[in-house]
Amino acid sequence: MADIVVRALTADDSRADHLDLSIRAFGPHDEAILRTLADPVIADGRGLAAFDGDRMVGTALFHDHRQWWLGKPVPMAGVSGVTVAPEYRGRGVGRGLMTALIDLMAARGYPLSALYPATMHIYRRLGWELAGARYEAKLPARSLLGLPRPAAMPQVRRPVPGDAAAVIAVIGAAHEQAGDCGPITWEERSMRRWLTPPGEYADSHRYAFLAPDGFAAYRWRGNNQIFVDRVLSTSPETVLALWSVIASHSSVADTVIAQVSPHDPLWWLLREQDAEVSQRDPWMLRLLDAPAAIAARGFRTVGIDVPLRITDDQLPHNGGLWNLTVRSSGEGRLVRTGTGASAQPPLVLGAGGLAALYAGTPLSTLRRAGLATDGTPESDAALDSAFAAAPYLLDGF
Amino acid sequence: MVLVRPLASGDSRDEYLDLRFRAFGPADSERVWADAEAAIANGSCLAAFDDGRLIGAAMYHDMRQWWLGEAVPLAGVAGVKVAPEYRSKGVGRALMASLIQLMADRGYLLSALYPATSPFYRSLGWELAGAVYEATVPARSLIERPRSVKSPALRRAGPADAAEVIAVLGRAHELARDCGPVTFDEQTVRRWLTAGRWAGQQRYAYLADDGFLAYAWSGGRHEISVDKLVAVSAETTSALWSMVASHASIARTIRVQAAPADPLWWLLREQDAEPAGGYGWMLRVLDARAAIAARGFPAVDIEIPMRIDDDQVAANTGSWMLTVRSGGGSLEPAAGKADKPVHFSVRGLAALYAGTPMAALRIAGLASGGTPESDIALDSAFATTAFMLDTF
Repeated sequence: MADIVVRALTADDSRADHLDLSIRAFGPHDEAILRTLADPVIADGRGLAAFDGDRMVGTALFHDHRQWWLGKPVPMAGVSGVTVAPEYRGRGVGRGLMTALIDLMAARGYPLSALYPATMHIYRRLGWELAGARYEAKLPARSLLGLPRPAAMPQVRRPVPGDAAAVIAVIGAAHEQAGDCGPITWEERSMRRWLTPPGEYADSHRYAFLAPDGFAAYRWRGNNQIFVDRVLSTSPETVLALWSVIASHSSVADTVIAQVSPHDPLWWLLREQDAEVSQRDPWMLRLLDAPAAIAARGFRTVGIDVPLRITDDQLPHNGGLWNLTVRSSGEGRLVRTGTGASAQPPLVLGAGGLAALYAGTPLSTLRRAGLATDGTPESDAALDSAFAAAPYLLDGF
Repeated sequence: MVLVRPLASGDSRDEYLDLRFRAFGPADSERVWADAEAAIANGSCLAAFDDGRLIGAAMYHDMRQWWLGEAVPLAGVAGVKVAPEYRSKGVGRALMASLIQLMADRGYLLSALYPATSPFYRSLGWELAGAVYEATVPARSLIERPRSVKSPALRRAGPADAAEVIAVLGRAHELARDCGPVTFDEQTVRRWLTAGRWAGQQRYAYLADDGFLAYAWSGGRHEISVDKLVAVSAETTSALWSMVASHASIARTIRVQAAPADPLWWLLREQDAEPAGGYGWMLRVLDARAAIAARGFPAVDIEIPMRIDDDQVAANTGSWMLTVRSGGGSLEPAAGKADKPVHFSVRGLAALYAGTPMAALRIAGLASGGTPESDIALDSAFATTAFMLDTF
């Protein structure tokens, strides 16, 4: 690591070098995919690169997300594009990049960071822990024809780039109302790009529909599969109307693969249980600013008061003795305390345990996985009540 | 004229097995009949006859289902079958209507089943509540876990351990505040530890003070299928997985049941476990008042007026006040006309009981009325991801 310099990735850095590194790391992909993801990040100073002299040997960047946690959007840095040139691996380049990225994300004020791990070990050591998954369900296309018909047909139209803000608002409203935990909304610039051909939601075989209170996006996978990116709405009629649009493809498509959570209404809407989870991509979470993350999250409406002792090697400001309170209004607070402030023994968590707790992992699981110790049975029950969630995501990044 | 009555010891074994094979396909005759004999002895199998010929049957198992630290008496419905030529003639409905009454009369508060077809059971008040989640893990992945420092004593479990196995499983689910897992009755577990599910060729069971493991070779020697791995402590959890992992020298794949919050996901060094299907199970509330009183709840403090409709069990229908306080719930007849009650069919009540979010219930047409505030309160009281580790 001695001769390796980590600095901001800029528009002046070689695009060809960046693409070469990205393909060496992730396998074949188009430059267009890389540019779509990387350009807004570089423009906003959210990317880092490692250099050996003039040679780019590693990258790490993050997206500007809002992640929904029980009705509240929390600013979340979505880590992506973490690459190290194969011949530079195992020398601390990745760790150097990620350490710098943690500091950058924290300095930019993000309380949370999430990522999809290609390998978990490095991220666990840096304080990320498994939090949820992106699920795909597979079902026969004709099963969707058995869904109830909507009582009223809402206005459904094809969105255009100018609808970016409306799409984000509609997705956010659906997650807010449902009290979802985990799903994200992207910033407007990326959404506008995806709604502009050729984009994620507007391309030769990629489609989206917008209703006043709902959004659906899907695409062909070959000639006989439809991949459903998401179907979201605050209204039952619109959910049914959007699914009926997708169901109409069952004349040609055999199979539908849909990104849905384990609690998606689709499971209860299907006439028969012929859908099954076919893919599960886990994602990891890290708290960058523990008090801010707690203050920004929505909680179950229980009153709790629990002492915590947190250790965080990377971000010492998260460490120490804290008091976590949640009020029956669903608001949480994390306040620093001194030794002996509570008669109860504090629950002891590392950064990983804190992240998994935040994501609603039951304390019994945290204890059996070695992510939490001490505390009391009563504080376990209280924390489970306050944090209960089954987090998911509908976006890969 | 179709007659529904309990299957009796004088009824024909051959007719019963024939009906079983016609409905569910090939199976081991001895095991099928052993199940039936146990149900006959308990009076928990109903049969339909046309002119003396056996044309349908349905039974339940005596179970306890764990709901946030509390064990609720559960009737696990199984073996619902109608002879092919008698289908769509109301035989199944007559059987199930009688079975609902029988289960309710015998004091079961809940009933669960794995549906071969959902619309039929929905029409009788069952609703999708949870799932068995299966996953496969490369066997070698299990080796690369952190080793526990202390190694608890493990021993092979035998028929005499039935009561202890049930106690250990129950204690683990109670302390974990799991929602959905069941324990069977002692007679059944003793049978499984003698021969069949947890004992015999290629099937093994181990017991620790605070944990239980049952697994089998499946599909030759390349796969180990873990039927159950449940433990209270981190040490025993790790020790039991180590036992399974030790087969990695021969087996390539381990098939496991791992609910979304199973510790296994956090114990694996890499996420190379893959979903391998699963089965959804449905729940029916047989006695709404008693089922609410028996369930564990988080320490919320809520009072929500509800309207429940149940075509099959009249006692569940009515206007109620749901109160959850200090970790306990109660459902009392509403005094006077309530303001904006939440409306549930008995199916919606079952899905709510199992932790389905109100937003999903509304979109699926299983709940209506109420207010945004009552939705938040109900979600806080019931939120969970219900799962099971047994199919029946």
